[in-house]
Amino acid sequence: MKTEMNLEINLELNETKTYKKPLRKAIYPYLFIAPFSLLVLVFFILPAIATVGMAFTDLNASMKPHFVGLTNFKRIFSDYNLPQILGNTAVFAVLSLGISLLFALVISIATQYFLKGKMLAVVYRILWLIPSIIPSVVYVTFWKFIFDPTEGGLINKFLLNMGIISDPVSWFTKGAMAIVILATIISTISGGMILLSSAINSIPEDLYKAARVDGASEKSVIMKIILPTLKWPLMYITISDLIGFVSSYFFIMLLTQGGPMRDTTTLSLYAFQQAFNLKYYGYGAAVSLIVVFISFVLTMLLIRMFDFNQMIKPSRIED
Amino acid sequence: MITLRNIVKNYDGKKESSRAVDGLDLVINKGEFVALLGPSGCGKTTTLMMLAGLLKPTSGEIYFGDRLVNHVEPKDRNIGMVFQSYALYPHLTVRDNIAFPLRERKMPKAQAYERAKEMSKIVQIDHLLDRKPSQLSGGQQQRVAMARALAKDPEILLLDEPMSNLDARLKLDVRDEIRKLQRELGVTTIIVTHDQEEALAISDRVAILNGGKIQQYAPPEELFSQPVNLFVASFLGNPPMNLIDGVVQEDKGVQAIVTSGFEFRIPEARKLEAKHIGKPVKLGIRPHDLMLTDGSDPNAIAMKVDLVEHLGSGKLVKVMDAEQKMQSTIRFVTDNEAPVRHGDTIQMKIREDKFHIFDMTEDGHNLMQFR
Ligand SMILES: Nc1ncnc2c1ncn2[C@@H]1O[C@H](COP(=O)(O)OP(=O)(O)OP(=O)(O)O)[C@@H](O)[C@H]1O
Ligand SMILES: [Mg+2]
Repeated sequence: MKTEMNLEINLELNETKTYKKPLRKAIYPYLFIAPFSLLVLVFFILPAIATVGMAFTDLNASMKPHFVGLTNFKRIFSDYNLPQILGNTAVFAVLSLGISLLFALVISIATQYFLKGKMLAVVYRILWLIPSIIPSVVYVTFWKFIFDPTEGGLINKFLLNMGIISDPVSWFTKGAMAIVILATIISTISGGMILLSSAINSIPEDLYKAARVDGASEKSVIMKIILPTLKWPLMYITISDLIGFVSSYFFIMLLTQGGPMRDTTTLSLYAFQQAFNLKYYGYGAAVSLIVVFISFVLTMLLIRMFDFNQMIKPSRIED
Repeated sequence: MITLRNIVKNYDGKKESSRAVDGLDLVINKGEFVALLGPSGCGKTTTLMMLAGLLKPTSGEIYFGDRLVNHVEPKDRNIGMVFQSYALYPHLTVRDNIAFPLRERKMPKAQAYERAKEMSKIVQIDHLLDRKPSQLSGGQQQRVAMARALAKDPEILLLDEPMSNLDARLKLDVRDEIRKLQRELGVTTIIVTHDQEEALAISDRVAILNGGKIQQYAPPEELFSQPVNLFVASFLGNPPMNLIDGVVQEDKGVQAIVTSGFEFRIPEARKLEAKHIGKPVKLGIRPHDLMLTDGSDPNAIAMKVDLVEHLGSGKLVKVMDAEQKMQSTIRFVTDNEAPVRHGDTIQMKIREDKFHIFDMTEDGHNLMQFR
């Protein structure tokens, strides 16, 4: 009796084991991702490891690193520039994000709902794409020209001609942060706009028709039909733009070099300056790790806020 | 009462080529259930959209009662509408979906929810009020759409292919429910469909559309027994009507249609006007109006059986004339017991009074006078 049972079990085991994936088939997926894995390794993972390692050394222009433990991090928290720089980073990131999100939303709703299918809407959206496709250096030069502190600057020339001011205004000393934010948002709006527009575009026409039959006001259409559809694109844009703003320094460096004084220096620009201008590689690496940490915490918070679980939960019919 | 007078709709302004509806006249009485039936692209949805106010007619007038409504906004027409896709608001619960039109009319929330509950009971979905549309089956979504359309107590209910997303069985149930509900509420209802069985089963009157024009507007049984033209005759009925080319001839006061396969004597009571004699015509006979007989019958036509198909409830027999001179085969239906096999020669006859003769004009008018 017992042996019989054993036999049966053995038989079953054998049957389940009989099918084995041919080796070649098992290798294919890895073959395909191998080259990219190599690239990722060389250009992302190794530098990341190097940065983390560097943050615990006193590597500088002399290129002789010594392990110094948490010294760099201790120095960051006693750095007298830190409060101002953190403040700048917060102002820059929050204002840039808020304004560009608002603009992207308004433009998308205007062109995809109110002006849907009109030529004007297409032209308008293409205009907004221009800032994001011209090279950054050219783009920055354009802003420098507009806000040039001499009589040659576009705004100064205009205001002088109109007789509103009598002497050219030095815009970069007065409102450097405002100019930096303005230039940043105008080049980021288009990204969000494209995502939001296509999300709005995916709303079936019948829903608008039903809303018209039901006597829905424009406000209800926007609040109850359009905005709920935009929840996930908005989350994506918020997270990716916020990380972008917290860790970006390129525009600021080209426009103001973080000045005047440290008025427009953000944390990531500070890390860059410490590492590459002053050659304090170890300290710069430590600061950039703080930037990464902040981005990570913000992302987690936002995912929490947007109720990420709900997004990955499958629904029966896609909406 | 709804009156459509000479409605024309061009999608592209003045361009004739974009004409979807071409001079439509229709009168729908209060409380009536009317179907717009026709092949794809004949302008059914376009007509319904104009009734809803979602499209404006290029010319012509639409009256609700005495009121000209051409330029009245959808929300001011007091209509309820069910879309083919149901168009439920995906981010609102069933309760909020049904209450939506009421809330937009500034009805207080409690009252709107009360009414939503009431409506959901009528269509039997009151246990689903807290779900989102994506968590409902097709049939349940259909009911929600119905409840939403009826919540504001509309004078007119417009249904655009409301059952095309349901399976065959559910269709039958929903169809009966819609009809029952409509009777109870007495709401004037217009349904668009391309399913003739559905249209004939559910409506008081059916308007058959083709090419943006109404071909015939009549109660279902009249459409069947008295089709005004070739289009209506061949569009309705399954299996379709047999159409046989022939010529009208008269010999000693007896009229007959002579086809290449047989000669059919027209009964005295239904003689054609003299002007049709000698003209080519099409003889139309529904498959159900042909029957087996024996050789002694003076009207019997000898035919050769080409194919026998089983329909379940009967047999569909395809026959040809013995010498195979006719262009087309003739289909007719017999009961399962009839001894008909492939290759047999059988005798059949046409049921008295159950035939149609169409002239060869473009419209193919029915020449039989129904008096
Ligand atoms: N938005 C539009 N722009 C231009 N032409 C259109 C538009 N909508 C429909 N048409 C055309 O108008 C004609 C009638 O269309 P309609 O949608 O009323 O047909 P239908 O009878 O509802 O057909 P179906 O049974 O396929 O739904 C068709 O020839 C169609 O191509
Ligand atoms: Mg249609």
